[in-house]
Order: sequence, then structure tokens, then C-alpha cells
Amino acid sequence: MITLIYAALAIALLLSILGLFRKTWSHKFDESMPDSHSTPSMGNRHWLDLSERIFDPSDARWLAEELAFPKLAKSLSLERRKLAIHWLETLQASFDEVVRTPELNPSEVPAANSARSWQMLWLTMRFKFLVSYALVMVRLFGPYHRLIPSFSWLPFSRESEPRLRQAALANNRSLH
Amino acid sequence: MHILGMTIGFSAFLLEGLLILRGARSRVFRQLPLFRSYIVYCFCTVLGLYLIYWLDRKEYASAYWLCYLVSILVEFTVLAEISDQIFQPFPAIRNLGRALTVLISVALGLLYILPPILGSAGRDRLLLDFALRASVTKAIILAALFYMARHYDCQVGKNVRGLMLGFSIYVATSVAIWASAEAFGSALFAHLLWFMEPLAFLLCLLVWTVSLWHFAPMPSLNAISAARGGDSESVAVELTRFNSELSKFLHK
Repeated sequence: MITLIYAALAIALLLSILGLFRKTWSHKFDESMPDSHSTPSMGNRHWLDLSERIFDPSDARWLAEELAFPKLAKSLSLERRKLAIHWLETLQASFDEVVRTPELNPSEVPAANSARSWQMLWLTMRFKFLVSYALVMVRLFGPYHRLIPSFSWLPFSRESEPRLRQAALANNRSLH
Repeated sequence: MHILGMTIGFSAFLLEGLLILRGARSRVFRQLPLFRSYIVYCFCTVLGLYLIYWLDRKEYASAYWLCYLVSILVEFTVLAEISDQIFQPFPAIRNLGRALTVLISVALGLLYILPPILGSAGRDRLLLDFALRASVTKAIILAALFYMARHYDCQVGKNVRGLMLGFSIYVATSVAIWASAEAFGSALFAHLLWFMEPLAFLLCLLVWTVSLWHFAPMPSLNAISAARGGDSESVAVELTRFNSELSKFLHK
């Protein structure tokens, strides 16, 4: 049985490299065509504002609580979930385009370049992790759920929050 | 059998010499410094082993197995070279390959390779386990690198593609051979499988020689990529912007 697993691993390795070559080969033909479906950039304010509307629960609440249309509110939140997933996937695609930007003139200072490369890798991995987490949360709980869990139920956070706020206020006063 | 082994060994030696000569003439070895060190190491090892064979045949077997064990570890430099080259043009993920290689090597080294070495029954079994598990680790690293290269649509040049293809053939064959030896016993290895691994390495060297004969630049830096290319500073600014926007969004 274990030999079969190893044999499968060996075959999968060879197939994956052949797959990579096939993709590289097909890219040679694709490259001649300009990309017509470009993803929106971070500078596009309208596209960023769209997320405010998609993730805003006030419409669904208004339908359910004030107009008493719970079914309509539910179908709205279901549609919004699809939109939220699509928005997050587009954000990811837009980020991937930035990641795929090649460097035309590499820096001459290798040490500084290496430190910056590690920093950029950290930013890339952080974004990938957070966006994947957001996608899982939206898929599981919908677009109106808090993405970062609230710790207000903890006695420590309930006690320490006003104290921290007071300390910050006192600090501000002393500065003025 | 003895002649077959000698022929395979001598052919590999010749190909390694040819690769070193050709690599020094063309610009290929300047782009692949780790690979260059690996090939020079292989060439020197074979030369040293031939010398030991002619001078003191009794010591040859132990010297061979010592060199073999060291070469299992040295082969990780080829993986490091491949991982560096795949993501080289992209500043945001330039170190991704290196990070993956180191992380997988350390994790599998501690959890998969080390335990059987510490609790092994005999020397033969230990050697077999070590060779098999090291090859599986290399295969997993290669598979992870291929997956990430596909995920980010990285287009590798002919030189690096050849490097990957050759090494994949060698690693895949090694996994199959060592797994068969473990499953069917050392008798099969002694009669049939012993020359398969050197033969796979010879094939790997042949692929490397053909693909590295001429220097080929990375295809991602062609006209269209150049049009959307930039400096690492602007990419870093964009990455920071994406991260801060996402953080703001998550904290809402």
C-alpha cells in the first residue's frame, strides 16, 4: 500500500511539471492578446465604496424589522453574500496582479534588497491569509457577521477598556 | 554489471565536466550560482572516488556511501536554486520559494526524516529510510514550488525549466526505486535496482546539459510584462495599501 502511495507521488510530480510546461506553452500564445478583463485597482474609490454598501446590514435590518419582510430580508442577505464573495475574490485577483508585477531594474544593493523582499513577502502572506479568512467567514456566516471576533464578553476587556480610555484621555490632557 | 556501473558513472562524469565547461563559457552559470556549486561538487566527488578506487579499493565502498549520504543533503541546493529562480522577477514574492523550501525541509526533517534515524534497527535500514524520506521531502518541495508557480502564473525560462524537469525526473525515479527496495527487500535492489538511480541521474544530467547549453532570458520580462512592470518601491507601496485597506475593512 505504502509503495503505491510513493509511486503515486512520483507520477504526480512528473505530471505536475508537465502541467507547468503546458501552461507556459499556452501563455506564449495568450501573451499576444491584450488583457481585456483587468481587475479594479486600489485607487478606484467607487469600487472601494461598493464594499461599504455590500457589507452594510442596515438595508436587511430595515426590511426585517421596520417593514416586517423577513423573507425578503433573508433573500437580500443571501444575494449580498454572493456579492461579498465576488468582491473579496476580485480584491484578491487585484492583489495578485500587483504581486505579479515584474521588477524592471533590480536594485544594486543586495542586503537592503533582501530585507525589503522579506518584508514584501510578509505583506503578501499577511494579505493572503486575511482575505482567505474573510472569505471563509463570509461563506460560513454571511456578509453581516463581524470578521474580527469581539472580546467584549471577556471580564478583562470590559474592565480594562474604560481604564485604557481614561489613561489615553489623561495623556492627551497632559500633552495640551 | 560492473562494466554497466562503470559506464554510467563515467558518462555522468563526462556530462558534469561538459556542463562546467559550457556553463563557464556561456552566461548560464552566472545566473545559477548555487547550481554551479552543486555541479562542481559532483564533479570533484566523482574525481575523488575514482582516485580512491585506483589507490585503495578497500576504502572505496565506505567512501562511496559517505559521499552518497552527503550528496543527498547537497541536492537541496538545486532545490534552493530552482526556488530562487522561479520567483526572481517578482519583488513581492522573490523569497517565497526560499521560504517554502526552508519551511518544508525543516518541518519534514524534524517530523518525517529524523524519527526513523533515531529509532532505526540496522545500518542498511537506516540508509534506505534516509534516502527514501529525503527523496520524498524533495518531491514535496518540488510539488509545492510547482503549485505556487502555477498559482502566480510565473513563467520560467528554458534554462530553469530544464533544471526543474531534470531534477524532477531524478527525484521521481529515486522515490520509486527506494520505495520498491523497501517494499520488496534489498535482494531486488542488489540485482536490478542498483543501477537505476545512477541511470536516472545520468538522464537528469543529459536534460540539464541540453537545456543549459544556451543562455535563455526569463520570458516574463518580454514587451507586455515590461509595459506593466515597475520598481520594487512602488510594488511595496501598493502591497502596504492593500494591507491597510483590508485591515480597515476587517476591523469594521
